[in-house]
Amino acid sequence: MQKLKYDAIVVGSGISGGWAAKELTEKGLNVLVLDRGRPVEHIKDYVTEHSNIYDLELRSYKPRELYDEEYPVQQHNHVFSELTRHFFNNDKQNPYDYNEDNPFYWLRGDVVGGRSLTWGRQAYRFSALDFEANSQDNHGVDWPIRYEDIKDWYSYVERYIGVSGQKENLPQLPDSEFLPPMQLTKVEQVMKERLAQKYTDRLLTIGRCAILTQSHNGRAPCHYCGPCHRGCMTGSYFSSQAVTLPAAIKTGKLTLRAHSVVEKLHYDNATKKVVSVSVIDALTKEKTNYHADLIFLCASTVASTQILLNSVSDEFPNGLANSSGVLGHYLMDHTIGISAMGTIPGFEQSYHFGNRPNGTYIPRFKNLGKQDAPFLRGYGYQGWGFRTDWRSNHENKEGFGKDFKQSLEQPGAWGVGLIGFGECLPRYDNHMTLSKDKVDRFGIPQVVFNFHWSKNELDMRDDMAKEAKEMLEASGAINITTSTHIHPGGGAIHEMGTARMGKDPKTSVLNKYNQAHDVANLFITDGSCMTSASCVNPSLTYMALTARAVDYAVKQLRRGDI
Amino acid sequence: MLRREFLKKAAMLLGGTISASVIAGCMHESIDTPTVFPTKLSSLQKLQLTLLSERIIPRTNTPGAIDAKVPEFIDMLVSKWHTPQERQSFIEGLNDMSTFCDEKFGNSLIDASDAQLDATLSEFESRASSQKNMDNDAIFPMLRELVVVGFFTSKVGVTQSQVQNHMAGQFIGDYPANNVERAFAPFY
Repeated sequence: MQKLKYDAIVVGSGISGGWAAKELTEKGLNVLVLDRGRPVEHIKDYVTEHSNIYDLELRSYKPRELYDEEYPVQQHNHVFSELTRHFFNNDKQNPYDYNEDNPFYWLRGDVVGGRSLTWGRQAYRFSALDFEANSQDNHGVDWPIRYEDIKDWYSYVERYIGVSGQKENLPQLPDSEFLPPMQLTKVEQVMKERLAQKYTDRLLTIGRCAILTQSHNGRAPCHYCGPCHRGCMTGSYFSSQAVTLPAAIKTGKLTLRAHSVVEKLHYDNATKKVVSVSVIDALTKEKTNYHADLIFLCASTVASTQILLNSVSDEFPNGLANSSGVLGHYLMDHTIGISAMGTIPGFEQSYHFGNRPNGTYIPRFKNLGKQDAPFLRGYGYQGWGFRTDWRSNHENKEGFGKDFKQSLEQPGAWGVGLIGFGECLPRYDNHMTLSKDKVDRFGIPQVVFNFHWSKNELDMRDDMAKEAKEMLEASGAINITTSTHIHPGGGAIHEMGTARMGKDPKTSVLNKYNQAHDVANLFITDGSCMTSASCVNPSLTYMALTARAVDYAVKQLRRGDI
Repeated sequence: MLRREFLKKAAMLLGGTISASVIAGCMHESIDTPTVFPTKLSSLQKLQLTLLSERIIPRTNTPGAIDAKVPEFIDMLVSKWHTPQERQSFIEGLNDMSTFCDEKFGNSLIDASDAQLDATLSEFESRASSQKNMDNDAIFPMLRELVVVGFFTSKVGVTQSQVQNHMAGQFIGDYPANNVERAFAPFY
């Protein structure tokens, strides 16, 4: 007879869910973690980890018919290939109401561990500036917390997961608890020096990433094979499989249930709490209700909000915990694009050894302290400086034959690039709802998106290209091309908002501890809680907020306040 | 130019944080035109393809296209992976090269000397570059790309024409280029 009652239920096992599972079990709670995807066992299921390109039938070509038919959305994820497809959602099996005229990319995993397996591993703290941004320019509502509230929680998670990087003492990008930084390449070092000569307001540093540069908490350092997104047998980058789920399992208090689609949460008006979670087995379609005192929704921004919108009752006809009416609104993403790239002549005597799964970073330098740009907020750049290889070099070489071949056998010119990451303003109009007529194979209403970039994001995008070009020129680059192309919302895979934190229950879904204003035993700690987006990668903040929320929730529970 | 590799590099750095819409323009549109055109290469065309592939990536002090089974790889792509439109362009392109060689040298491609094969390839390279749009229909860039990709992603290409270093164990940012005879093979 399977157990139906737990102390806590965590929905989702990705970056946030894994952290919730670890923290809750380590505090002694019996925890059920539900994930809609299939199980992925650490090491054993990284079936392509060190596969060679020549082992694939089509090599680097993609099976286009299959992708167009079954993965029309997921193929827009740049790490989606035959080497990673087994980690991703099948769009045909699990569709949403995709609008071709106004597309939004919902890029999602469909495995235990979720997107923690395929994420970009970049790990940056939000700054004091980020938590004050909404109150400064009156977009969105004010965050109910400040940097000081979360600072120690950042340290807590960083010490556990291991974040490599270089201390820079920047107020707009607080330092983490760092493991030693990865090395810059020769040309990245040159760029760093040349930018330092020209600018006083900006610098280039090594990317900060959740990849180990030395042994840490029983995990081995990176072996520099490169494509982390295939899985890592040494557990050297942060994933739920490598880091948080093993910690939760070790307590003996974790029950992990894969293939478990959460249909809705059941609310009891007498106790004003969620009493159970309705789960559909993805394989058998059998429905089961699981009960718990505490619910952590960590299913990802869109999926968590979909569950709430689908959890209607007499008390919450517009979705659970939605007395404010803002659930589903204030959807955000980052604008990401290769702002500029080129080549840097010289330095041909230098090369690089090993595949560094990390780039460089240029922290935000606009609108710091004073409004000095014709748009609000700011952006940062990730970048790289590596020697090119045959993949690009053959296209701009003439001829064929011996000389052609031998030139492709050698390392090419130094290629450099800057990828702008821009902050997106929280706007009511950008939202997700549930379809009134389309359901998925489980009978759950499909998600509908309505998302547009605003003038602020577009203006910022132009500035990113302009500044990137100038910085590449200052670095000695030639053959520079710029781009202001902008992807549909969701394309950065940093979707945030839709169940935002705030001080006022009338204008926000969650309080300062990620607890639903309306429902005391409901916590949401994935990207849906975000009140503003910053311009830095958000995952580290989800981890810190999750650990902080669990600490609060368990104290409240023990005190009898939940 | 550098775009495709840069995007791959970006993908590696960013993991799942960048969408392929950034590569708009690099994507091939599949155009499904009804056709009674052949769905695979004939034996003669396979032989022509073999000879031309080896002229593009010849055996040197490292193996060549034939050693790397590039013609077999391209034959598979043409029959299984190409859209009908791409397949038709490819086969017509091969036929055009064959006709050119016949008319110019009085020799079919399979009887042509190396110099005549090279002259044929050069002719079609200059035809492609003189076209206003370097579109996918031009046989030379289409063929050369298939040969290059087929070769450098083959086991021979990865292990003998490049230096396989997928389990580096460390990252050295400033490594003497002279320490290595050829480029390290990319790991996707």
